[in-house]
Amino acid sequence: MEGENGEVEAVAGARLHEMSMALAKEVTAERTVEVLLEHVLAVTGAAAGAVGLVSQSGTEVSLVGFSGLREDEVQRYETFPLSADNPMAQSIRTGEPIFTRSADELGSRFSGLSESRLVFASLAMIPLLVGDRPFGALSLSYGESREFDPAERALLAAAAEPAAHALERARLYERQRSLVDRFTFLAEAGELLAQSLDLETTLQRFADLASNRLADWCGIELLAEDGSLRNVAVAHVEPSQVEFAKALRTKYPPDPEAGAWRAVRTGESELFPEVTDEMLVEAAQDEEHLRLIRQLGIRSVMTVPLAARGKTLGAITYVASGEGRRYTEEDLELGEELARRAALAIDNSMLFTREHDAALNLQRALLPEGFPEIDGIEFAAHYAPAGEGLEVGGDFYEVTAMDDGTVSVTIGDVAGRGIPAAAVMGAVRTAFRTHVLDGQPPAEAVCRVDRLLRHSAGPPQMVTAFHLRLDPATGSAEYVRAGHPPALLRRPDGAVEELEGEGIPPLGISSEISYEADRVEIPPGSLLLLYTDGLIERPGEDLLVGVEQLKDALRRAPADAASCLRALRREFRIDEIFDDVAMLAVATTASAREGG
Amino acid sequence: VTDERRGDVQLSREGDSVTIALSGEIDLATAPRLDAAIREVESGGSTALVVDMSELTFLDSSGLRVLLQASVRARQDGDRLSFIPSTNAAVNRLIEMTGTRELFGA
Repeated sequence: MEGENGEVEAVAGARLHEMSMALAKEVTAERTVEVLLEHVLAVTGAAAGAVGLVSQSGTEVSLVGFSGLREDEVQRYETFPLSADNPMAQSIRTGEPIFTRSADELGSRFSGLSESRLVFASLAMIPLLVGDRPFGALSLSYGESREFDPAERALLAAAAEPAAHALERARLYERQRSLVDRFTFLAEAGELLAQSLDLETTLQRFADLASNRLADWCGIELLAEDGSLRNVAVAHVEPSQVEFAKALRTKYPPDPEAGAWRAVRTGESELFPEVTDEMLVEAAQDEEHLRLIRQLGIRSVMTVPLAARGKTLGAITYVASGEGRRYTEEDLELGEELARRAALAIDNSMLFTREHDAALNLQRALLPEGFPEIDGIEFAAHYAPAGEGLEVGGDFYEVTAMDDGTVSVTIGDVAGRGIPAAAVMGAVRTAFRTHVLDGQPPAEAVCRVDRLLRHSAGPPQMVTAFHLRLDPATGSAEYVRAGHPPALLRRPDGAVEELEGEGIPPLGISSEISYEADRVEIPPGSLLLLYTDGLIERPGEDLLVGVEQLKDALRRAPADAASCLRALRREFRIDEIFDDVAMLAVATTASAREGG
Repeated sequence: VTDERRGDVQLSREGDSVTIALSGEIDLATAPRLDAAIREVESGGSTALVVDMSELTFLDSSGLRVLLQASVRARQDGDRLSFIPSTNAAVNRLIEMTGTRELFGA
C-alpha cells in the first residue's frame, strides 16, 4: 500500500511541477486562469474546478473561469457579494480552506445553496493568497466522497500556491500595463488638444479618442453664453449609434437636476459604477424616453465637470454600455485627468477667440470706412484677417484727399500681432493722414512717421509702408517704399510694372535717414495695386514667384478697382492664406484730366 | 519632407561671443524659435552676437522682422550684433526688396 501511495504522490508531484512550469509562462490573468484549470483537475483528481477573484472594489467575487461545471451553474454564481453565504465567499473572507466530505455536509453547512450546487459529492475550497491577503479561491468538486487526509490537503495547498503567485504576478503585470496605457492615453490626448484646430473639431476628436479607450459613449457639453448647455461632441465606439444619441438628446434635453447639469453646477464629479433599470426608470421623462434610454444599454456612468482657472466651462459624460466595462474610482481619476486637460485647452481657445475678436474689431474700426469721392478716381480695398490659429496682424491702408486736388494712398504692415499691433497700426495711419493734411510731401510724411516710431516709448516698433501721392490733374505721382513690397502699376496699354524706386528700410528701425521720393507718371486708364506681403509670400518660395504671379493676374484683371480686387481675391484665394492680407486698388479713369 | 525643410537654430559660444547659426527655412513657424534664441543670448550678457545666415535656404518676412528688431535692440542697448550674409537668392531677394541690405552690414 505504501509503495502505491508513494507512486500516486510521485505522479501528482510530477503533474504539479508541470502545472507550475506552465503557469510560470503566462503573464495575463485570463491565460493564467485557463492554464490553471487545464492542469488542476489532473493534479488533484477533481471532476470540476472554478476560480473566483475578488473584484477591484473589494466587495464582490467574480467567477473568472471554470471547467467541468454546467453553463447555467456558472451563470448563477458569476458575481456575488463577498458577504454571501457560500463556501467560496467564506473561504476568501477567512483565508481558510473549506473541505466538505459529502453533499449532505455541504448542504447543512451552507443552507442557502441551491439543490443544483449539490450534484457533486465533496468539495475543496482553497483560498488563493499572497502573504496573508486572500484575493480569490480555487474551488474543486469531486464526484465521490473524499476524506481529505493531511497528505491530500497538503497537495491541494501545494497546487494553490503557484496558482496564487501566478495570478498575483499577472495582476501586477496588468496593473503595470494599465498604467503605461494610461500614460500613453493621456499623452495622446494632450497632443491632440494642443493641435491648433478649431475647438469643436478638437473636442470631437477628443471624444472619439475617449470613446475608444475609456468609454463606449463620450459626450461633451459646454456652457453657452446664454446659460444653456450645448452639446459640442458625441462619440460612440459604434459610429452608427451617434446619430441615435444626438436625436435622443434633441428630443429630451438633459435633466437640469442631473448628469452634466449637476456636474456643471456643483463642480463635482459623479460615479455610478452600476446603472440599474430602476435608475433609468427614475431618470426617464416619459415612457418613450425610458424605452429609448433602455436601448442605449447604459451600464456604468461618470460625469466630470470641465473646469479651468476657477471657472466651470461644461462637463464630460463617459458611459459604459453592454457587457464588460464598469467604472471604478481609478477610471474616474483618469476621466478627471482628461477633463482637466480638455478644460485648459477649451479655456485657452476661448481666450484666444475673445482676444482675436477684440483685435479684429479694433483693426476693422481703425481701417477707413469709405473713400473720398474724387472725379476720375475709383478706390477699392479689401482686408482678409489671418487664418485660424493666428492672431490678427497690423495691416492697414489709408486714402486722404487734399484740398489742392491731390490724393495720397498708403498701405502698411505693423510688425507684431493682436491688440498691440492693431493699436500701433491706428496711430501710424493717423500719423500719415495728419502729415498729409498738413501738406507734407511723401518723403517728409514718411520721415516723420519714421521719427514718431523711433521716439515712441516701449519696445521698437517696425512698420513697412508704401506711400504715394497722385495729382489726378497731371497724372504725376511721387512715392516712397519703406521695406514694403513694390506697388504694381498697370498702364493703359496693359503693361504691368513694379514701383520699386530706391526703397528705404522699414520705418522705426534705422537711424535718421534722408532720401528723395521716386516719381512715376500714372496716366488715365491706369490701375494701381498696393498690397501687403501676405499676398505674395509662400512658404519656402522666392518672393519673385509671388510677385510674378501677381503681375500676371493684374495684367488680366478687370479695369475697375472693385472688380479687380474681386478677381484677385478669387485667384489668390486670399481667404485661405495663413497670413493677413490687405489690398488697395486705385483706378484712374479717362475723365480725370478732362475734369481737372 | 517637412523635417528636412524645417529651419534650425543652433547656438555656439566662443569666449564672450555667441554665434547663432541658421539653417533651412526660417518662417512663420520657426521665427519664434529664432526670436527666443536671440533674446536668450541678449539676457545672457554676451558682448557679441553673430548671426550666421550662410546655411539659410529661406527667410520670410516674419523671420526678417525678428532679425531687424534684434538689430534695433542691439543699437539701443549698445550690443554688438553682426551677420554672416546669406548666399541664397531668395533670402537676398527679401533683403533687397525690404531695403534692409545695409542693416545686415553688407
